[in-house]
Order: sequence, then C-alpha cells, then structure tokens
Amino acid sequence: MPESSDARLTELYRLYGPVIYSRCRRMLGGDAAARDATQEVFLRVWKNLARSPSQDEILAWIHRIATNYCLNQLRGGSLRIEPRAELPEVAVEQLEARMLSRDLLERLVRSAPEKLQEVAWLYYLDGLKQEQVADVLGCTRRTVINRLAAFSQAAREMAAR
Amino acid sequence: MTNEPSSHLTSLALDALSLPTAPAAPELQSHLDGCESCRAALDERLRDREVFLREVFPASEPALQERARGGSWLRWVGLVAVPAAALAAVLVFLPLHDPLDGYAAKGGARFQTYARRSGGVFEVHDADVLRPGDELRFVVDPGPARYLLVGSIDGADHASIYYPYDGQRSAELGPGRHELAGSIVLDDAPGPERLFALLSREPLAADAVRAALERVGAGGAGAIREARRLDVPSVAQLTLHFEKVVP
Repeated sequence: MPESSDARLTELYRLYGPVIYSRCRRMLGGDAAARDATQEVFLRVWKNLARSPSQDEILAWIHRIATNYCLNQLRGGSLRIEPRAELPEVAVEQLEARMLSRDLLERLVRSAPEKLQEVAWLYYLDGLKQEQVADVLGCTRRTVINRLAAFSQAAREMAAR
Repeated sequence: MTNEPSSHLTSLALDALSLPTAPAAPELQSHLDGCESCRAALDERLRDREVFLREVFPASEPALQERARGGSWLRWVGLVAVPAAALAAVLVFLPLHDPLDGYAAKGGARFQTYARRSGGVFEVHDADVLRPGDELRFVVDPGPARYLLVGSIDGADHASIYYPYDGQRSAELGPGRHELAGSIVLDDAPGPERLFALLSREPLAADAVRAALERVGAGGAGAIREARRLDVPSVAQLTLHFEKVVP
C-alpha cells in the first residue's frame, strides 16, 4: 500500500470513523462489537475506494457499507437481544405515539423477529423511505411494506405483554 | 404505522451533523432546537465521537493499516501462542454477540463460547470442530453464584485454567452477564477438548479443579467427550466440548 494510500485511509478513518463507530454501536449494541465492525467497514471502504463517490456523497456511501455490514451481522444471529421483560410497559393504544421515542423503538426493533429487524431499523430508526429500504435490502417495496406491517403487529404484541 | 416517518431527522442527517466538517444548516438547527429526541440522538453521536477519537482511533488505526496491507489479524493484535501450553491467554477484544441459545443452568446461569476465525466470529456449540489459531472468548452469567472458574482438559491430558487465567482460585463475579477479559488461542494439537465453567458460592482452588480435570483426561478422548461434571463442589457446572482438527 503506497504511503499516500496510508494517509488517505487514515484521513477517512479519522473523519468518518466516529460516525461509523457510533452507528455500529447503536446497531450492534456493544462497544467491542462496534470497534470491530468499524474496522471491518473501513476495510471494505478501502477495498472499494476506487468506486467511491464524490466527496459530497462519501458519508452516505460509507454509511450504507456500515449498514449492510451490521445487517449481515444481525442476519448471522449476532444482534444483541434484550430481554423482553426489560421493555417498558406501554399501553397498546399509546404505541403509535410512543413509536416516536427512539429509545423505545430501538428496544422494540431488537426484540422483534429477526427478519423484521432490519426493515424496521432502516425505516423507523434511520428514517429511510420505503424505496430506499428496498434498495438497501435488495427486495421489493411491497416486501418492505409487508414487513413493516408485521413489525407493527409484533410491536403491539410486545407492548401488550 | 407504515406512513413515512417525517417528524425526526434521519440517521444520516444526524451523522452528517456530528461531523466536524458539517456545514451550517439553519433548517436542521431549527429542528434540533425544538426536538428533544433528535438533540439527544445528536448528543449521543458526539459522545461516541469523543470516545472514538480518544480511545478507539489511537488503538486501532495501526491495526487497520496493517490489515489494509494484507497483514493478518493475529499479527496486528500482537497475538503469540504459548508453545508450552495447549492454549494461550491474551488480552484482546473480540466482537461478542448475543445469540439466543447457549449453555444454561437452573437459576439463570449461562455460559457461551465464541470463536474468531479469519475475521468472522461465531458461537461454539457442543461438538463443534475448531481449528488451530481459532480464538475463543467466553460470556458468562453466573446466576445466583458469586464465583467462576473456567477450566479445560484436552486430548493430550493437559488441564488448563482459562479464567482467571492460570489463577489459583475462582474469580468473583457480580450478577449479570460478563464478557470475560482475554481470549485463548488454539494450538495445533488435535483431538477433543472440554471446557467447564464452574460456578460456586465459595471460590474453588485451581489445584483441585486441575486434578479433577486430569482425572477426566486420564480416561482418554472418549471420556473427555462424554464428561458432564467435574468432581468439585459447585452451584452449577456448564460444559461443552469441541474437536480441534488441523485442516
């Protein structure tokens, strides 16, 4: 790796590493996992640097690499599962309003069935549009809509316990 | 609930705001001024940023460079196997995960083993096949017990105390889940190896545990594969075995 490449990697890691570390920590639920995931993300960034977009779009690009990496980790069964007993008690009728609480959302997403977690995370926590979620996951918008509806039902059931 | 959410800044927007190069964005600032949730989310990112720059970056940037050059993970963490022992303990941090299954006992005690190989991490289950160079790390919930000792016996009849590493007696643990510090690195001696997580109300002497492990090992590979308990007093014994195979 040429010296200038070393410097470029260090520059990217210093500038965007904090953002990616924070994202990985939120998605994977632990500091140690976030440290490791951040390294893995930047290795992927490095390997694909020749295909990187312009400076204006590079954060979104790295962000997406991190999202895909973390989702793969989640699909591999590595998601931090929090006991459902620790979920705060929320009346079912209040759930819609309380879905705006980021903390509650994160816990609901982590407690949801695995195949619904990624859709719910991208949609509710990342604020992506349904089409964008479909792009990230490589599925149709219809699938996204169906899974969001299933997540909604699962969240209600969790809150009703 | 499937209407497009629009009342908060997106995760990407918050990430962009946490960058030191973030341009002035009056409309976003206006939202932050009136949105406690987004302010909290941004504050969390800024705290993470401080942690990353203060602790993570200095510790990991050389390793990242090394890996980008094609160096091995083992080298960049400075891992050295100890030839005299079947396994070596090293203080590294592996990503630890939280699968739903594991090895649990009555009272909530739980013992999980994870292996890292070629950058990937997976949970080790009973009778799994592992390779030389795999790194193991343990996650334990002691349940009602206060003390933990993790020991091992391998096919060469070598007994080891992994936690506390080479310690003289059990270590005290608080309640709840613990990611045990350090990891062990498998050497290239093939055959079965059995781990015991011994949870107790009083500390166990390592010598007594080692002797009990060696009694199991004296029975050969079959005894190691079949053993479920060690002859030591304990609240709970959680165990699994794996097969070490040289590819």
